Amino acid sequence: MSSVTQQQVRDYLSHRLGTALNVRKFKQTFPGISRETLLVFAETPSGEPQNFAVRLDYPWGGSCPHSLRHEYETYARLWKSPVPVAEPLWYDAGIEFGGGRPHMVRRLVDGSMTIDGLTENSERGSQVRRRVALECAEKLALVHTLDWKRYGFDSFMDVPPDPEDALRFELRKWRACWRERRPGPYPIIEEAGCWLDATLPRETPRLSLMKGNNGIGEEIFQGEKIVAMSDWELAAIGDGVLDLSFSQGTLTLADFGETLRHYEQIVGSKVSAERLAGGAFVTWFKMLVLAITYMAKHQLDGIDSRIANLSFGVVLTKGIEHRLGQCIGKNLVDAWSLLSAEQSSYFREERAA
Amino acid sequence: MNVSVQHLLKAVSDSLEREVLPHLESQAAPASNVRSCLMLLANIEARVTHEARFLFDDNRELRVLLADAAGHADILGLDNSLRDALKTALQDYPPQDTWFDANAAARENHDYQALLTRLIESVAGQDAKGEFKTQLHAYLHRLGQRDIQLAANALMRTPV
Repeated sequence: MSSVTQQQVRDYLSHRLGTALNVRKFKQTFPGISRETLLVFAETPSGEPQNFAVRLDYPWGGSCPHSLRHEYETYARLWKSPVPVAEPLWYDAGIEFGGGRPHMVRRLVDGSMTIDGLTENSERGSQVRRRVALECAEKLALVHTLDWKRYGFDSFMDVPPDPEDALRFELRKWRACWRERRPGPYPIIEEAGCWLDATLPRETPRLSLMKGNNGIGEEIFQGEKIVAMSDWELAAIGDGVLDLSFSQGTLTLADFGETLRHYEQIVGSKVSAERLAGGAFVTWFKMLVLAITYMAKHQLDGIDSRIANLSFGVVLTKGIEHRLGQCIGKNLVDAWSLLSAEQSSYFREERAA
Repeated sequence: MNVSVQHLLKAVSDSLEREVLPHLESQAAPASNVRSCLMLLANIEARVTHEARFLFDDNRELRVLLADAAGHADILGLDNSLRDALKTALQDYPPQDTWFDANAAARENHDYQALLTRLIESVAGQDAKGEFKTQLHAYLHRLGQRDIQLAANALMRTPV
């Protein structure tokens, strides 16, 4: 249930925009793990539709290391760039609305998070999945080739001192977070951090803006095209290869090799097996840190009692820990090859429409 | 009649799945909470059945690994505080080959794993510690396999 009422949101938006809005529909997005997001479908007195997303920190903050301000600043810069995002309107905190919690308001883009035919078990479904995978790869390539200095991302994001060490820079950031917040002993995660630090490749060709979690469930589509990339809470500067393994099964909807070649063509450089493997393992490490030190820890500390914090933070993490346990100590590419056979796709035949 | 814990957990899961979940199709958040509960119940069922045995095996392995590290403290370059902690833990928890208290075994396991974490931090980045690392990695491989057996049924379910 939302922590602010429809009337409070209507009054607040009307006040800030200087027009009396009539709210037609109001709902909270689900599952809203990291922050609370409210979708507001409104119209002006003249009947003009005005739709918004209001995103608030929970009373205990967010469930990721970056602040909401970080996410807003990312939107504000991307709005001026070729990367498609919803228009950010404002960020505020410490005011009456939302009990003083940090929040941001952006416009809603007309589109959908679901794609017609995506889960259809047919030739048409296969073609839809192929086109969606290629589309997501294209948009990630657009993000990764963006001139982030020109848009000022380095004014609020940490920048790795050397492109070659971008993967290690990202790993160390998440290891520091792990050390600060770990709720108990996890020897597999501990040793995985040491193993990766010693074995990650030093061959990142350029520093890129990275989106973080991406793919279906994060982006807004019209048909099979992305019209807005959403959820920038984990955005950072680093090796774009990390995004290729954080697509939640989207880039593996069809032939990953074809999708990867399409991506390489746009970014203008090959992605080696070493980088792909390194990116995949660092992404798993990040996922474990997020699920354990934010989700599970918040539940165990009585901060956020939602039961999903335990299903993610206690059970799902065991699957990743198990895979890491199989890999630690091995050559990075050999280890990744061992596991890439079970690489999951968003599409699963048994769940097909 | 003594109804088993497994039977009770299955009855609760079945009831949630068959009698509650179908009524929540249009309510994403409550339905998700039930699915999370079903996932956790599957995990509890596996832990009730196997965890005591796994803790016994894990503690036995950890004692060997930690004792070996303590015996090679000089080669591993362990500081005095870690040496003392290893010695104390191995004295506090003598090997148990017969019936044991699962809660006590869980506490023992926690303490051992905390020590192992300190050991890992202590020897990080030291290439010369090859033999210890080999043993450590073999142990972590088996730990992951034990853990996944406890989580396998739960992982067949979706959390949201």
